[in-house]
Amino acid sequence: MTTNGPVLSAYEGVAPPGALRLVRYLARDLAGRSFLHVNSTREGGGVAEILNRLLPLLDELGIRTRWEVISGPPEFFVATKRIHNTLQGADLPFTKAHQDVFLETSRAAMRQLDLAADLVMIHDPQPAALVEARASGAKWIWRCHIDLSRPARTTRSFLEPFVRRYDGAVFHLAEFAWRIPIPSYLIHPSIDPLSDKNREMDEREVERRVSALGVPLDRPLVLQVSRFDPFKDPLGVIRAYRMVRKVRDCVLVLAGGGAADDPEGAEVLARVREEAADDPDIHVLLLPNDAHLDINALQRAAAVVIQKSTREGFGLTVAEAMWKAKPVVGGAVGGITKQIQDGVTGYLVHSVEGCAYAVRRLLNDPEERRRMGELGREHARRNLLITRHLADYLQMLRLHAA
Amino acid sequence: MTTETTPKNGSFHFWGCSDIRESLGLRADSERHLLERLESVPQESIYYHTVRCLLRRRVFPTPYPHDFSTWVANEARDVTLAERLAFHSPFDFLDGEAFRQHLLETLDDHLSRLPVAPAAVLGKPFYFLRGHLVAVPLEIVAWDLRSLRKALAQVDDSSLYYHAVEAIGRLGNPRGDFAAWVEDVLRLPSLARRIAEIDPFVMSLAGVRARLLEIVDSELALGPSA
Repeated sequence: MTTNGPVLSAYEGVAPPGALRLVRYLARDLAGRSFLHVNSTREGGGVAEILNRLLPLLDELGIRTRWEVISGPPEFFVATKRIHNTLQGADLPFTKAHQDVFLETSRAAMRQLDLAADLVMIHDPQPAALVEARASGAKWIWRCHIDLSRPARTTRSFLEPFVRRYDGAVFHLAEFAWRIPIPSYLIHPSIDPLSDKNREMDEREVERRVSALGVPLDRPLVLQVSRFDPFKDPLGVIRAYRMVRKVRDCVLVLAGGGAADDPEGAEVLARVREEAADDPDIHVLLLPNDAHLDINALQRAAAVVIQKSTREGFGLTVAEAMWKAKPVVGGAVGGITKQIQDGVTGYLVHSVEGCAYAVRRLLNDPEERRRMGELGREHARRNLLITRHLADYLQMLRLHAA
Repeated sequence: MTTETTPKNGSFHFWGCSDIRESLGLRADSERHLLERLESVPQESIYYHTVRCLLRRRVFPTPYPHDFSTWVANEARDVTLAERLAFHSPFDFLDGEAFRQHLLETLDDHLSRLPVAPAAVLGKPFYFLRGHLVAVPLEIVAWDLRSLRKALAQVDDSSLYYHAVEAIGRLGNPRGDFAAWVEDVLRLPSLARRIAEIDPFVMSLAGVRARLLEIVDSELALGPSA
């Protein structure tokens, strides 16, 4: 694999003290092993983002990493999106036609992809069936990044036989872990503090980038960054903002991109734009997948960051905002509850009204924003950076490579 | 697992640690269910939820010291039981089984006084986990009080956990590694006593570090030392 990404030494002084020494020690027994990752997109979404940053570091540690992407016709991604939504609890049919196109594409991918490696990590449901092509002696791990706490029974019944064939599974949270006869590890995802999305940025650059997006900086900015997805509740954010606006002048930005494996995004975006059409202070920004610096600038310009999800695998935009010392108002679901310490680094909310009240409170108190932001940054440094993620992966691999 | 903090030359070798969590696939939805699970879950799971959980409490302390009391307070909304569970740590007991018995008796006594067992009706269930810990030599060494002070300021949080908490729980050093070394090698029993009095169960690891530095600084300010 080409290593034109980050190098470990660059994290010295950014990651917690001792973190790099730990990583290097854990990697010693794994040097020379091959480690393959398979997911469904190279761009867009948290999984691709993490892999783009994590794999060069694994490579630098002497582990021979590769990354394969399962591809297929549009119907395949319709089916996998249906798997994704129903596993997260959506009440939608998962039909025989969905299952057939999923299996057919998986079989084609088994022939097309090079799946030979000592350790194989399959990300999310899209490539889960590839485990049928595992070679003897190889260790396969299924890494699930979504909220599995309330899966639709039909979809789970379809998927679980594949999952049981792995050597282990990794979930973000205990409540997502299925009771299956293989080890189920819990690993939080992470952000990269040196990536374009999170690197330091001076005020002039922030102003220049935010102004170029057409967002005014003359009033406090309230921001949600996420895909245009019903589970991110962008319409709920608009309703909360409208409540706040009655008592406090501010600007709302809803910023997000699309992903190659998300055919629903356009529909949700259209509904959001329609809802926001009559308000010039609501800025709906559809950004390209490589607009990391613009996202970075928006997060740094924000007074308050919202992540009002109703289902959430983890919600890395929370960690991104915390890293930039911003207080975060988050839906009390999934991984958001593991990132926000309620009342300490932000607020966990359960309703539109709760969201509106938390934003109102924070907009009214700059000192609380500053204090929460600083604690959030330290929490992110110690728990949510890529160096911790790397250590977790290495330790899990050691358990399976032994 | 062994600790190697006091090799032959008497220097203190710092270790860090990394812990990966594994779900046991077991959950409890009510206090009654929690009691039933506690009767049979592996000892390592009780240890994880009452001791190893400190490794994740790095920046700010939490209102209750361990996962059981925190769950009872936040999810079952039973603050009385949370208070009763909170006071004792496993290190107050002869062994893990005695601590398990204490948890069971406290829960049983509490539930016997209630008409209905509180449950996580609106809250989340309790999920039982265990941890896999790997200790890592950090190649950071102290040989006197000044070098100890310097190292304490720079090591990873996990190193503080490993020497101040894990040393008591799994490594069988009741004073913790720092106090033991200060007493046995530096021959500073008064300082060792003050270090041993730091209670990691009621603070974050950042707080443990701050208190250690404060105590060592005050000793250094007194004049020439070990």
